[in-house]
Amino acid sequence: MALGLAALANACDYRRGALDPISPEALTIDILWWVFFWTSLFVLTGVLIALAFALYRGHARGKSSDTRAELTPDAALERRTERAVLAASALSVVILVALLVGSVFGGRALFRTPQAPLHAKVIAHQWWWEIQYQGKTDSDSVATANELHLPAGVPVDLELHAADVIHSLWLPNLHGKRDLIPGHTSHLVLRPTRPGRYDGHCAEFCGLQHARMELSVTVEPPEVFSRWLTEQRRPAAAPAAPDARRGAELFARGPCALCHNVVGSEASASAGPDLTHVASRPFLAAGALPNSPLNLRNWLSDPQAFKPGAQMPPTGLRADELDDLVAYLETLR
Amino acid sequence: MNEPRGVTVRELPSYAFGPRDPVWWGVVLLIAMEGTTLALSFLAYFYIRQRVDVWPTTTPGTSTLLAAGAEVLVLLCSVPPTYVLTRATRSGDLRAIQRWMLIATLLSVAAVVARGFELHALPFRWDSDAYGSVVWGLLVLHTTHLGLGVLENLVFVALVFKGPVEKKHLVDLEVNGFYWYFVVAGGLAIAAVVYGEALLG
Amino acid sequence: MTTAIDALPHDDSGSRTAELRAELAFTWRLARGLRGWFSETSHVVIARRMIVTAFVFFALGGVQALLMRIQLMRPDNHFMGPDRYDQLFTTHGSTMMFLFAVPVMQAMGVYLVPLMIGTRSVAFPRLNAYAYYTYCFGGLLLYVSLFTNTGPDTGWFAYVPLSSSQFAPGKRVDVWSQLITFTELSALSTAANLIVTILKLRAPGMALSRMPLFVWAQLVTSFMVVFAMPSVMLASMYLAMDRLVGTHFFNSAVGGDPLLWQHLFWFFGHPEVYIIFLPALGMVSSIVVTFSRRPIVGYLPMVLSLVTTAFLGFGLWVHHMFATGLPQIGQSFFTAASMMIAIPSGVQIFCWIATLARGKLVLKTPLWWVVGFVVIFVIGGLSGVMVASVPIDLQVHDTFFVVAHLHYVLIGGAVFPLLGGIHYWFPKFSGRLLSERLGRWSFAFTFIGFNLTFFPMHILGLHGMPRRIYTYRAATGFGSLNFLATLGAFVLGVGVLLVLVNVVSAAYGGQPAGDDPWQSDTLEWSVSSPPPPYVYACLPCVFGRYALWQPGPRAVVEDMDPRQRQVLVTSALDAAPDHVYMLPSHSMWPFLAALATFITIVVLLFTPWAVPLGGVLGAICLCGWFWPRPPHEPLLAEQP
Repeated sequence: MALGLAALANACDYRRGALDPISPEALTIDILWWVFFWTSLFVLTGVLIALAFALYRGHARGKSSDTRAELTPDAALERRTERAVLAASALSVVILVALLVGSVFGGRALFRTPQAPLHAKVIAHQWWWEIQYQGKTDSDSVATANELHLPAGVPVDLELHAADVIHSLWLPNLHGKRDLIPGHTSHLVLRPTRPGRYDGHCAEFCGLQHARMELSVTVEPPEVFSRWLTEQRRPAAAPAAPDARRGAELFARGPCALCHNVVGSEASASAGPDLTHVASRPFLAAGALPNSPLNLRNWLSDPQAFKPGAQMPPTGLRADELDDLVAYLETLR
Repeated sequence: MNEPRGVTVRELPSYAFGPRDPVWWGVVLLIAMEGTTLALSFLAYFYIRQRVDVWPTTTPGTSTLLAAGAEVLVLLCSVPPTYVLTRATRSGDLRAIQRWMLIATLLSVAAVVARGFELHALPFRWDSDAYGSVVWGLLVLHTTHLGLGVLENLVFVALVFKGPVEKKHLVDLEVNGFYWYFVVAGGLAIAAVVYGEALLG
Repeated sequence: MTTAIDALPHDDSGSRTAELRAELAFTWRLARGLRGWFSETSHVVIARRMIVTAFVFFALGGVQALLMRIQLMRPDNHFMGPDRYDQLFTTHGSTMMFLFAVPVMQAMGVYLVPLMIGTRSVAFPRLNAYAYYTYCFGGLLLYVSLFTNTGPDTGWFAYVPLSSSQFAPGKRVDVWSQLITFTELSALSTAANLIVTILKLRAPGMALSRMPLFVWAQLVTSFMVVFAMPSVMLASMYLAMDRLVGTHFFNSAVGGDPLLWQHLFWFFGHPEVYIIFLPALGMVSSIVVTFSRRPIVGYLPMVLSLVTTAFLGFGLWVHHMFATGLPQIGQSFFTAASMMIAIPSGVQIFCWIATLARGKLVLKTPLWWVVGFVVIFVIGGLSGVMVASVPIDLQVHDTFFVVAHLHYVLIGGAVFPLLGGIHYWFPKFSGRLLSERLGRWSFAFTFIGFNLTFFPMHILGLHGMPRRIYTYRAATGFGSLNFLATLGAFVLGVGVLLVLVNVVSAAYGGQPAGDDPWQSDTLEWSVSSPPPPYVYACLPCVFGRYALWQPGPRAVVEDMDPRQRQVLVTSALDAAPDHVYMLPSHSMWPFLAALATFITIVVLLFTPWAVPLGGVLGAICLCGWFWPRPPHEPLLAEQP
């Protein structure tokens, strides 16, 4: 069974998971995990062999002799048995101490935080992630939602906040979890090395849509990352196409602008995700749907059907209004 | 090995004081549970204390300190009568038991009244801030201990004045006194922690 | 042997006569009629009810688990929505922890401890009845709210601020916090009862060093209850006050802290695991000794392991909070404590294996459950060592890995021994034998189903599946292993169902068991099956650790008055006879007091005026409960 775990763990190729480390921290944990795993397998095998032996021996004796209880067993044999128990116990103490030492050193390595040249703020909401990259000025700052872009090989210091209840940031390929607790600010330094896309998830039960609170992480070469950041700093341009223009109108006048922000437009609320570059994101509603015009339209027609309990209310828009709105939002790249 | 021998209970008593008595153990365990709750409340107090910059957030005024002082005084005064009462249970002197039971009960009622004044005089409410909550929490918790003590006292007053008084009740009376010591100790600890700072600082 | 026993006069005329039994049967007769049903205080009757009730809750919790497994069977499943799912996992956890595991272990103690230590009852039979009814009312409250779709939905741990009135308006969380009050009242009462029973009512000669390991386990567990449960009562009281009267214990905006909740909750929550698991270890010891037909290897290490576990159990609550970012140095301490607690468990496993190896095994069903226990529990223990390590825990915490771990520990460590214990003691409870064939089949189904359900969850957790999610995307790739787990859950369900079939069919048509079907060592097998209400016609004297295996004639306590409900109080350490203690007869007041508690707490859901109401009701019940009633015990010479 335990071997099956090892085989399966290697066979599956997910974009998420603690066993696919892409940072020194996740690698430390991964190595520690395998040390614990093989040690455990060794101990389990030992115990199972001992148990099988005991059942075999005991069963044989049970068949051959009379069934009366033996109140005073042979003293020499008892001493030998007790010594065996003592030896097994001593061995487990040694193993545990070794594991403890490994664990403590691993833990130290985990939080020996280097100076991070890049800072970002992660604010967890019910049920989405707000990400802010602080620039030198306000206009330099970038706000996005449910996607975290990181430059490969450059340490990034994340400042973590919770806006409502306790959440937990978990990017298994990059690091262990860190809780986001109201009233507490914490930090997590990430050092991804391998470019790619990885899944993250809220790991602390945070209410109805805890299941749909994903965070997608894109690790890219530093130059690609800076290009992305520059793109994100660009305010949204006024749309040219007529349907998109109608959509923009609808967005600004209608209920959308009560919660959402689009830099460069009149909409500047902050209750919901910033939508300035919404069309460039891989997912809608923190992992509820892959981002496509069709999914966007479906989502806008009835958010509660895809994410029951989410803060976004039913929009009550007509079909043509939906088309216009989608046309507008698709320009926000 | 000796031949196993039976045991006769013919000459054994039908009650015993102190740790020989099952009810004594029951009450000790009750005290252990309530004591643990109280200890954890103190830990909560100090936990919140280290998170708050200004402590106490509202300093108790003179009237609060007077009421709290009265409470402490009444609790302290109730100790000697309780002690005399427990001694009287050992000798089984009903007149003395009645007298001291009555005095101890009156003092326990007085302690509840003083606690009422103390709560009334607090310059903050339980919903003012976390300090208010945790202080009120401590006081209310202890008030339930006080209340239980008074309730038991009243039941025993009714018993020793109306009868019939069983010999076993003497044991229960002594145990009841034991519980009251715990109530007094809790009250003094709370007063020391909550008002100590105000008096010293 | 104690000198006190030898010092007493010895009467050879054994009084095991029919007349004595008839008198005892009259004195200890059960209450009759509907009114009698509510006023019965016999520990045998109450414990039996409590065991049945707990298994009803086990079945309900199991059905909830199956419903959740159906929902998770495939990605993006629409079997149920998040609201229902959240209510189910909260109720499943709360039921299994508060309404099944702790009560059933205590109920086994209430039934068996008096029998094993050679006395007739628990020390406080009325308190025992009160504990049962309080527990029942608590369960009732939870299930009424679940079936009216207002079940608690913030997890069995109810973390603030998610459970605060701001994020959880309505009565759902209040129901949960009052459920805590009920079950903790019940658990605390029973714990105190068991401690006093064990310390004061042991048969003459049963010094602490001669106590069966099951009784040791119950004693240690009960002490853990006394010091752990107040923490969750305080926490749930704070939560209720935050929600109902606007206090700020957990409000970080004005000086409170959500982490205070976690500290208080886990200071109870971790010992809780051992509270569930230690009594199970006691059952394992009983079964191993009986079916190995020899003394346990390492009695003293076994006892010391129980005690050590209890102490360490209070020192590792923080390992549930590693991800909150507490200071490093503290974390190392809690890692050390969490790993070291594996040592006493290991020692016990080694002792059992050694006992089996040196024994003459009788491979009956109870022993098979113990074998299953060892396999599963060792796996759970090893994954426990993994989660004790801070770095590994930061990855697997709050994932399906932990779901797997906790079920390996709790089902493997507690439910398997419990089912073994049920198979072992069922003849004593009912006077009938269970079917061996059906027993083995049920074991096989349960064992295979269990591993099929929970082993894949380790892998799911490592691959990134968080706990408490009601669904997942197909692209995550979690589908196949989840399907396997759901399949396993139904196999497991069949196994448990087979146990039920076995129990029911044996209860109505099983072979008569006789007093001692297994030739066991402990005293409960010396009385008839099921035991009469007075349990022992004559209280036994004890001369060794394995009472019924001792050679030579048995000695008994003589000259007790069969016309009164008498038990013998002995000294706490060496069990020397001390005095004769009279137990109260049956009474309606425990039920009424529990009812008063129920009314008070339900009213408290709506208004704080319940507090004075509770005071008045409490005062009435206290008077009724303790009011002396004829026939009196010896009176004071002087009367008012």
